[in-house]
Amino acid sequence: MIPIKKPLVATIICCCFLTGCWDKRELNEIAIAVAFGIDKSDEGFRVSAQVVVPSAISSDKGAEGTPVLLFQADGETAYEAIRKMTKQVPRKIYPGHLKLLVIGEEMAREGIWDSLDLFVRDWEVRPDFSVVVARDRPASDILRVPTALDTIPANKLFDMLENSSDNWSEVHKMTLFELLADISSDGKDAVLTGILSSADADSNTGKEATEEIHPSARLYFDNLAVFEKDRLVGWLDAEQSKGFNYVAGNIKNTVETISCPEGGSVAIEVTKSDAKIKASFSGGNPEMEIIIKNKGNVGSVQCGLDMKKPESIHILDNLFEKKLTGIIEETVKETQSRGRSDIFGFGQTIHRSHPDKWKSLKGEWDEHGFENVPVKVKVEMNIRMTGTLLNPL
Amino acid sequence: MSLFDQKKGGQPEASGRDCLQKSLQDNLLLLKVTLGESTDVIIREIRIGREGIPAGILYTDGLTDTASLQKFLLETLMIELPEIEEREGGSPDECFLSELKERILTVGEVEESGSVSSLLGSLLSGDTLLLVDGYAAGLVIPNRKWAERAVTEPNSQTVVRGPRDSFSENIRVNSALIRRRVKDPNLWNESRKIGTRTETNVELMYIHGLIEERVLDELRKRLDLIEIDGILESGYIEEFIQDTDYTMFPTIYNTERPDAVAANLLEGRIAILVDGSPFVLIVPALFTQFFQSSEDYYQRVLFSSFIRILRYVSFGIAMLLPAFYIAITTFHPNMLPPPLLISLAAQREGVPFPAFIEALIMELAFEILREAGLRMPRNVGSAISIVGAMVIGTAAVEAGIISAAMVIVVSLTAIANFVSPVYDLGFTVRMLRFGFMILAGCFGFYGIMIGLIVTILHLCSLRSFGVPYMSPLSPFNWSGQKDTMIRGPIPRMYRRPRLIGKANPTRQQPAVAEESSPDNSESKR
Repeated sequence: MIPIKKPLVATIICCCFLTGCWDKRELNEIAIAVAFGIDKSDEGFRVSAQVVVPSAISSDKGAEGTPVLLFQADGETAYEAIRKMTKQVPRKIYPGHLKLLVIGEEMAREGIWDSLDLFVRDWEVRPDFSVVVARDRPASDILRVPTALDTIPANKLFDMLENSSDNWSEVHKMTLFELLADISSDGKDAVLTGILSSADADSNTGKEATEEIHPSARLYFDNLAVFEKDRLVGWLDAEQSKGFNYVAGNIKNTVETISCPEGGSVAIEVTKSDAKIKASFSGGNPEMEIIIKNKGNVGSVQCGLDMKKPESIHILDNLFEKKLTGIIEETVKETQSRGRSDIFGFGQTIHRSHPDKWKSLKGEWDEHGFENVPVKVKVEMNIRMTGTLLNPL
Repeated sequence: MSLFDQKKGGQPEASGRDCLQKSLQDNLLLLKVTLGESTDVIIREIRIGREGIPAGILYTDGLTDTASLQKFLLETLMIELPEIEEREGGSPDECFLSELKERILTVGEVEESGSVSSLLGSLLSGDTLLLVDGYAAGLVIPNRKWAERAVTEPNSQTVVRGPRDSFSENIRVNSALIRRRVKDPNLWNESRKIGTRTETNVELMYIHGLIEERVLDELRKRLDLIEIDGILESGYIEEFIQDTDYTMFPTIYNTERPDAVAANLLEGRIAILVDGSPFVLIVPALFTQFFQSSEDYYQRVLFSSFIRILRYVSFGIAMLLPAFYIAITTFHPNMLPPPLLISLAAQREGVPFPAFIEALIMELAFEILREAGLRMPRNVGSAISIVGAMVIGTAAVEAGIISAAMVIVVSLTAIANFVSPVYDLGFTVRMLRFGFMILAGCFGFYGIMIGLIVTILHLCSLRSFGVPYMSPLSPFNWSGQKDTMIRGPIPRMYRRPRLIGKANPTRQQPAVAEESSPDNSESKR
């Protein structure tokens, strides 16, 4: 063993303590922010932060006081606003566990990039939180609504969004990562899920609201906000949202209700859905083809169809295909009529399959390329199981 | 010999007169004076034979078997000797002493010596001396017997399945326990006395042909260099012969299990037995050896391997868990899942200390409790457990001094520490833990990583009697992996540890045709 020089050891040990612990923060010195809301204000940005109050959540003390607090501050930039919050909060806002970013509609219409920049740039933020748009309201209104099932509203919203995108697929969970990819890529525009609140002026948004069985102020996700670059340009309604998700391949599991030929209806559970968009050229003009292959089960039958017969399944297949084709064609038409925002990524598809031709199309794709491209829709359905019951009783 | 030089300096009355005189009275007086007329040395003057020659019998009370003294010495000399002389008609002559030694005394091994110092040595070791008037020599009759602890179950290394005997304080019993397991004539025993005053018997045991002569020579050299007045425990020897003092890791293995010693001898290691110590030292020792329990080899393979891995994991927990907790809560809260973070944050509410201080308080409290539990009188033991449960428990949490999570961290750390099958490594872990806590408190994970790198570099720099401490992990060798992180099936572990059993690498012919490794052919005998 090399003999250690004592002064060297002493110096090293002293260094350990002299540097101090400059980035040390005890857990009771940070305010864990679970959701941020960004709105427009006179100064520029109004940032709302939903911050957890840990002592109210801990299981052993029987949850006293409000589980979350909402802080608001205005500033020329979002960063400035967040820092200004220190004037109201005794602890430093810690964004590492951010779950949800709510952008007010007004802000979204002006462009979201300026607000997002901070969240991408800051090393402490993990870009895996969901981004949603508050429809018709400022984001702070959304973050103000208390929830009962999960005491932290941001958690509740996050889980709700996830659950709904997995099982109903009308909304789409978009993380900051995915959003950035969509905004920055050519030939594809972003969509974000909308969040709505049923609260009105005299709704109770205090803590007592969590004690109501059917609170008047409720939050729910609905509709998809369509963006052009980083600006919100419009909304898709519920059916169109679903149609979009079929095309985008976001469907994990959902239920479609189709009408039987002789009246009544059948619910089909879609268990698998694969979407493919193909681009082809005829005479120099692009043509798009959307092919969606589905697999599913019969979920519930409320009509006279004889489920013992294989033909019935074929009938259902065809009905499903027809219905979904309708929905998607409608969605595509609606989107095209609005022009400019290519949420399906047709441009991207062309770029990938025909990069040479894309070069010439690229320049005017947003102006009139997208809205004029003919789109063919082809839906395949394969119903596999009818459940444990053959015919309705 | 340096041994005697020292003695002369310490005991001037013996100097220059190391030889016995012819006169019994002179001799007895000399011995009496040399021993300071100690009352536990009994001097019995008798007259032996028909002619009643004056003789003296000396023994140390308590170290000598008085029953055999009476039966084989006093009765022989005082009753049977006159009868024999009567019958044979002879009378004592020049060779009376050797006559006594060769024909009369019916005890095992009798030695004749004229040196006062060696006679004294024997006397104080429990032998009986017989001095006869007119002869400048005495007989040493070995009939040592003293009260000692029986062979009991081991305290420090217990097993469920496996032999239950352990070493005791008597070196003879200890060497017998080993020899009973290995009946190889090549199991050699080499003895020396160390300690100028204690004259402690130290023995090396090894299997000739399995050990590397280089290691043995080095060991002999280091033992010969020891200059100390007394050896009271094998720990003394350990400190004298270890490769370096500047390490927290033990580079010499110790055990009180004879089966563990036997297994190590068979691997080509050397055992050092020290009289008066139930702990036998084994060299060379490797890092991985401290994760091996002898029970590993008695239990089924899969289970043993599982337990092995568990030990390494526990080692990590015991060393790093508090540091991890400090680093995560003060520097890297983003590494925790949100629900856990919120739960931890809730517990930290109202705790007045930073996490580092909190951890330090708890770890210190636990170390104090543990040390107290070890040292206090047995019959107040229950008091410690009651108070201890309060200090490191809900009482501390309810008082608002400590967060509940910290109690769990400290308790888990403490329990994980005890998984280590060898007590020594536990000390290392306990001390390193504090180092890592300081690093984590200052630099977070960065500090822990730096600490780990330094520790691993240090481990790789260590050697035990020339063998790299981290082998077979570094330098890496495949066949050694069968007994490192896992315990391979015994039939397949047909080779001795590469760097230790080099002299004779093959234990047994492989039971199964093994995949041939490059060194397979040359390693076979």
